[in-house]
Amino acid sequence: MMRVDLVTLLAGATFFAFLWALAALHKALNWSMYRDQLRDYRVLPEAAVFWFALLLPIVEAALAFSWLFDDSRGWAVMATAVLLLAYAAAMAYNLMHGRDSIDCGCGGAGQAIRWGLVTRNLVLAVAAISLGLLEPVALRPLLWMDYVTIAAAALAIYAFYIICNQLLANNPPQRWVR
Amino acid sequence: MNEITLSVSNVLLWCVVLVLLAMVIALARQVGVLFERVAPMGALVTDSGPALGASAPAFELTTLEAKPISIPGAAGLGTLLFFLSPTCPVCKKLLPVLKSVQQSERSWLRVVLASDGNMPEHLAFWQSAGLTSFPYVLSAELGMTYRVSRLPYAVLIDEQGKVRAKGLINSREQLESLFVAKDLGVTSVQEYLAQPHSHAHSHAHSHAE
Repeated sequence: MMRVDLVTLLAGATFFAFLWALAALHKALNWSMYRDQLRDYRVLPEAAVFWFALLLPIVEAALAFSWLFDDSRGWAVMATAVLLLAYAAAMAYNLMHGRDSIDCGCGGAGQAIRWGLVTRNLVLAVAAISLGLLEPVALRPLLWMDYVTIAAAALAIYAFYIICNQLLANNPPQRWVR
Repeated sequence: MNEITLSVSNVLLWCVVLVLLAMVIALARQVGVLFERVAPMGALVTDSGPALGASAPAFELTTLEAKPISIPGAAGLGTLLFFLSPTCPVCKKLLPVLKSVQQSERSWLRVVLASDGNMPEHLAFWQSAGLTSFPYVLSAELGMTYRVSRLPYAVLIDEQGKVRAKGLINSREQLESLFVAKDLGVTSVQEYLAQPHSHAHSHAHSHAE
């Protein structure tokens, strides 16, 4: 098992907390649109769409919190990997059936599902599991500077994530007329 | 070097990194917006004049070289009618594009330049602008039939003598949109983008935002 400094670990965990918090937020803010996007995936029976649309943002919000605390982080790692892989599978299922024009439901301006997004989810799942496998070298008391590093590094990773998404969305096929 | 020095430099560096990342995000967004803006936009189609899909009105005209020319041409020969005038700057900008179209599409298409007015002026323009490879006709009646009100204006007539696309042309892309419209079997690129075709976003609600 690899050992890293506590700050590295916490920066990664905070990134995942950001990731899920913002995912839950955009789903909650545009809930009816999110429900329609979920229905478009056609992976759930019609009756279940409503309940999953209701449940998933709550699960994501809970995951965001779980990443922040030492006691729940182990659970968060597994759940994050499972959820990301489930999303990837849903996208792959639709792509393999030629339905490449549905919205991914990733928030923002929206973009059509594509293999790049499946890869993105796989990379994130691997990153989450790797974080779970890391162990802190030593439990040392954190200084204020450590918190700055953790917050800034998590923000920076999230920024890279946004940039990757945007560059993917810029590729054809772009969304047709809004 | 003490602890404060290190902390200050570290915080400053983080600020720089985050600001730069925000800028990269903004740039990536702008690239996306730019892509959307340059999505195929067709020539401005007007509803007046011969309808799209209808047979092009027959004309027997004489070119500047005093050769007879019929519009539409013989079966199997398409015609791009390009209405221009020696005094229109956008028309001149498009002349190189017309030359390349004439070259690349010559197997099925002839490009005919059309205008009206007095002969000497057009003859001078025809020679000085290097247009001698194009048939050039002067006919006020032709322009009136196609209701050409602004220049440059182009009409694409297919091999069967039917009007397939037309519109006000301001750029290479808009000229190409006429050929795209013909190839896709739609009357204009605007119509193509508006109709629910196979690749279009299948649900309207996500656009509702």
